[in-house]
This record gives sequence, C-alpha cells and structure tokens, in this order.
Amino acid sequence: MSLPDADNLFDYAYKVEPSVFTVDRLKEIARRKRWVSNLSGPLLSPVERDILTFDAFAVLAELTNGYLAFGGGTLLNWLFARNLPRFSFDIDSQIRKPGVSKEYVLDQVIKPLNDKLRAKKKLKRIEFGGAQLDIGSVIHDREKDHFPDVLSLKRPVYSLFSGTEAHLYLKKETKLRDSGEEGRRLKNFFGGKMPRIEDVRIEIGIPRDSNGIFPAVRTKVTPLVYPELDIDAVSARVTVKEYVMALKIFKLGRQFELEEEQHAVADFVKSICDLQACSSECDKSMVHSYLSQISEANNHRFNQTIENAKKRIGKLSSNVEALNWFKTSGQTSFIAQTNDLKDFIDKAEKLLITIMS
Amino acid sequence: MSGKAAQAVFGSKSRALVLEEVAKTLESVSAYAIARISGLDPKNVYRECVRLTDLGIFQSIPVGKNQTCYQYSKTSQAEQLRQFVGSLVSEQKTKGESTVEKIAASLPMTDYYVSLPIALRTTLDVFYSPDYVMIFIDERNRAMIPELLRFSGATANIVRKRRQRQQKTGVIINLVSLWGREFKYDEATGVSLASNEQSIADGLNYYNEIRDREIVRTLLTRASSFDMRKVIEKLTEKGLTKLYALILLKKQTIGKLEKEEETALGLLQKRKVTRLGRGFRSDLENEAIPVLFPNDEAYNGNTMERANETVSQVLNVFA
Repeated sequence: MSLPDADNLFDYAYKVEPSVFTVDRLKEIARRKRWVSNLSGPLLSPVERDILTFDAFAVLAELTNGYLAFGGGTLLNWLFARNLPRFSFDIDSQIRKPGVSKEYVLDQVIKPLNDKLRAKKKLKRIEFGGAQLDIGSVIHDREKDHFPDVLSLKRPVYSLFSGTEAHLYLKKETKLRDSGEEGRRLKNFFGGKMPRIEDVRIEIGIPRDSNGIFPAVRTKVTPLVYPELDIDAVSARVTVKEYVMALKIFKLGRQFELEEEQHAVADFVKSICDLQACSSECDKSMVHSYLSQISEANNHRFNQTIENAKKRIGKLSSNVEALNWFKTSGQTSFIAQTNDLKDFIDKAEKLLITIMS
Repeated sequence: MSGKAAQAVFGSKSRALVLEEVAKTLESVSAYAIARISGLDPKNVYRECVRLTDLGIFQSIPVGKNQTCYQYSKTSQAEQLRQFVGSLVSEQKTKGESTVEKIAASLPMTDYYVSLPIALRTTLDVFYSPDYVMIFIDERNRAMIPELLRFSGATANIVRKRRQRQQKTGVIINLVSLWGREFKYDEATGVSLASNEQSIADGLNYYNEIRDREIVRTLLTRASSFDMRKVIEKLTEKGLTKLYALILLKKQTIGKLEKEEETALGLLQKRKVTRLGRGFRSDLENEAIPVLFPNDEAYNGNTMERANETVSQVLNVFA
C-alpha cells in the first residue's frame, strides 16, 4: 500500500516542488506552524489546501497577462492576517476590463493560460469513460456559475489528503453510472493506488464599468505555510488594503432591515476580523477617503455610515449568534482559540473613531 | 496498520497486517473485512490467512455462508507470537501523537472508523481546529472502552442512547453496528476514516450531538461533490428531513440546483417528511443567506428581502 509516486503525480504543480506532496513533509510543516490538534494530531488538510490554493493563484497571477487583480479572504490571509488567518480556500479575483462577457474571459484569459500550462507540460491528462480531464488546468465550473457578474472556475489537482478518490471524482465529472471497469483501468493507470483529486475554486468578478474596478497595487505574495515551506513569492496586483478596510466598514455601516441584519451577523464578524488583520500600519486617511467614495456611490453619507457601523459593532458584543459563529465556524474557530471577539470589537470601535476624526 | 517494525520482522506487508489485525481483535476477523478496509489486494490477504492457518498459527472459524473468520490458535507458539505482535502494537500506541491515533492503534482497523470532522475532506472551509472527533466503534468492542479511555487520555462522551441531546466536545464514541457503513484505512492519517458520504450522513444523523454548522455550510455549497444517492442510503428518517430541507431551501432561494442536488431532491421528495429539530432549523436559517450569497450578492436590490422570505417559507414546511 504505497502512496502515489509524488515526483510524477504532482508534476502538474506550477510553483510548488512536487516533492512537497508527501505525508511526512506535510506533517512536518503542520508541526512547525503549530497547526496541531491534541485530538487529531498535525492538521494536514489546511497545510495541503494552502499549498494547492497558492499554486493555483500563482498560475492565475503569472499566466494571465495582467488581466486579473486579486482580493478576498485568501489573499487577505496571505498578506495581512498571517498569524490570525480566518480560513478561506478559494481565489477571488477581478478582471480589469469592465463589461466583458464570460465567454470573453474564457476565450481571452483562460484558454491562453491553459495553452501556456500545456506548453510547460504542466497538464496531466487522464481519460475516463471516453472523457478527458487535464489535471492542473483551469476550467469553467458551470454548475457553480450562478451569478451574472461572477465567472466560476475550478482547477482540478491531485492531492494527498483533500478531495475525492480519483475514480469517484471522475465518475461524477463524466456522469458515468457504472464505472467498475473504468475504475479498475484507472487503478492500473496509477500503478495500483488511486490518488485523490481536489478542486481549487476560483472566481473572477466582472465589473460593470470602470467605477467598479477595485484599486490594486502590485505586491509580493507568499502562502501561509511560508517560510516553513520554501517557495518563491508571487508578484500580483492585489486590492489596496485601505480599500478593503473601507469596504468592510461600509458593510458594517450600511442600512439593513431588521431581518436582513440577523442574516448578516456572520458577515459582520468576518468584517471585524478583517479590520483587525488590516489595521496595523494602515493609512487611515486613505481609508477615510475610500469610505467617502464608497458611501457616496451608494447614496450614503460618510458620517452616517461610520455612526451606523459603530452602533452595529457595539451591539455585536452582546450578540450570542455572533459569538457562536466566531467560536465555531471553519473560518474563525482557529482565531477564536487565542482571541476574544470582544477585543476585536473594542479595537474596531477605536479604529472607527480615529477614521472619523 | 502494521508498523515498520512488524513489516521488517515478517517480511511482507500483507503478512504483518494480518498478524497484527488478528492480534488486535477480541474475537475473530474475516480476511474479506481486512482486505476491504485496508485496500490491500484481497488475494494476498486470503493467502496469508490460509498459510498461517496451515502453519497452526491461526484457526479458522466458519461464519455464515462462505465466510471464514480467523483468530490465533490456542497453541503455545501461537500465543507467544500473538503476544509479540501485541507488544509491537503497544509500542505504536505509546508513539501515537494524538488521541485519535492512540485509539486507532488499539483497535482492529475493521472495528472502528473516525468520522467528522477529520474524515470529511470535501469542505468549503476546512475544519480548522476541531474541538470534537466522532468515532464509531463496533459494539462488540464495548468491553475495551474503559481501557481505551484510560490509555488515550480521552475525555469521551459515549453515546449510549440516541436521545441524548446536548452538544458534545472531545472524543464522541458511538457504539454501533458497523454493518453497511463506508470506511477505509487511510495511509496519510494512519486511521480508518469514513468516506465523504458516510461522514456527511453521520453529521446529519447525529447533528444534535455535534451541532457542527460546517455540515450545513458544506452541504449548501458543495453538495454536488458528494454521491448523494449514497448519502441518502445512509440517512435515518430525521437525517433525511434535514437534507431535504437544506436542498429545497437552496433551490427556492437560488432558483437553480446542480445536477447531483436535483437527483437528491427527486429522491427525497418521495420520502416521509418529519418535523425539523429546533437546533438544525435555527442553524440552517442563520447560515443559508451568507453562504448562498457569499460575495455580497444578497445586498443587490431586493435580493435579501426575497431570500429572507423564501427561507422562512421553506422552513415553515418543516415546522
């Protein structure tokens, strides 16, 4: 029962050394990061997912001719919340060309990206029931593509721990009902041991017009598992930190109906965690300026946004649902082990006062 | 699973594994079960069992139709060998880094599986630092539980009655029949792990005990990553109701389902609907909108208002 030959199987990896994908290596990284649980030992899954997500990010950042800028929870973790990551394993990006269609993005951005990967021999083809899948490629995730201005993509990759066994994954992808024979053929193809396949989720937002383009700056990005994992930084355009903060404050300060507000509690908690992560060494006058712009664009008054945000944050400290979400959600439970939501709330309140003044 | 020492001494992975698994069992174990859970070539496992029986080390016990189980024979040589293999197992137990590893090293791989949260590998957000682990142990091992707890240092919650409702943390041990449950030995973690489908079904069936909202989030966002037919086969009546409410709510709120979810909905509509428990209902109500509209999509126009109304309507069906 040997594990798949890592050197061959993980050759699809674009930035990461294939030799990283061994159980011992992932466990070692988890221990060095202190991502260890007394109950279950070294947490392999977050280590592996951080590596897989970063590799997909590197592909998008380096092979799309500057079309994309990146943001969202994962990038925020990698850049600003390295010690307090609120876990997130998808890549949020935005195309810098407003008003284009999804077909345009697929044809002009994603197809050339896959061609480049193919030329670099980074795609690993598998066949199953007459269908073909290129492991390592970026493909349209039709089933997840719900919203008109967001293109959903995925990158299927081999994994050691996450995801689904290859034959089950392919059975679902190809919609084959009986895969007994194909499964056996696949097992032989992999030398008797079935690997796993995981999808890294990617979203590309398409702004309606140039006003919808987020301000972004070129930044060097490394994954959470760096420096425990020796890997080169990736240079990419990333949403300006102060703009992210302004968006979070706007979210906390916008008008909600009472019922809407109840459903947005998780979002409020995430916003407070993100403000905490971004607040060190931020340019508060820039936050002020971005928040003014965002408020104006949404027909809100700046002062009113700040006042609302302060009131809402104040109420959160006694909100059982907020505390429960903070302690138990996959995104924040790790932070909650060593931090109090109340402290984050206090700091967010102080930040708002400074920005207002 | 067989440690490196056992393999080195016995020269073959299959032989070491068979000697070790039979040594761990309180009664007897079939070659079929060992092969199925370990993923080793069944031919090799059967051959080792027959060879060890021919040598007088094992004795075979016919069970049911065409099924043979094995245990160490009563000869002094066999007993000495069993003790030696047992000492290798004990060494593994003391080396175990975590509570789960220690428990796993104490039980035959065929007699337990670790379920949520470790075994669920298809999640939107990783279970970052879980405060519970749910383990299902074959009820035949009931007598071993006190020793397991003492050895592993676990503060376990043993679920004796399904009526127990309070949320638990730490190791949650469920003594059950493992018949029909889907699990396999996992080389990466060194323990028997539930399949993704078994894990998610366990999460729905035992929701009141764990109240882990990642189950709700995972199903709302990635239900299509599971073989939903398999999940449905493993659900109790109450588990089915939870899944039905969840998928129906997604359909009504977003207006569209993925193919696997549509299939599941079709199957679930034929089942009897019971009342939805208060805990699950409130968790689903709280999670649905932020999860289904993750990038502020709900804040466009009157989307939020409509979504709120839909969530209430759907949940009222299960009131």
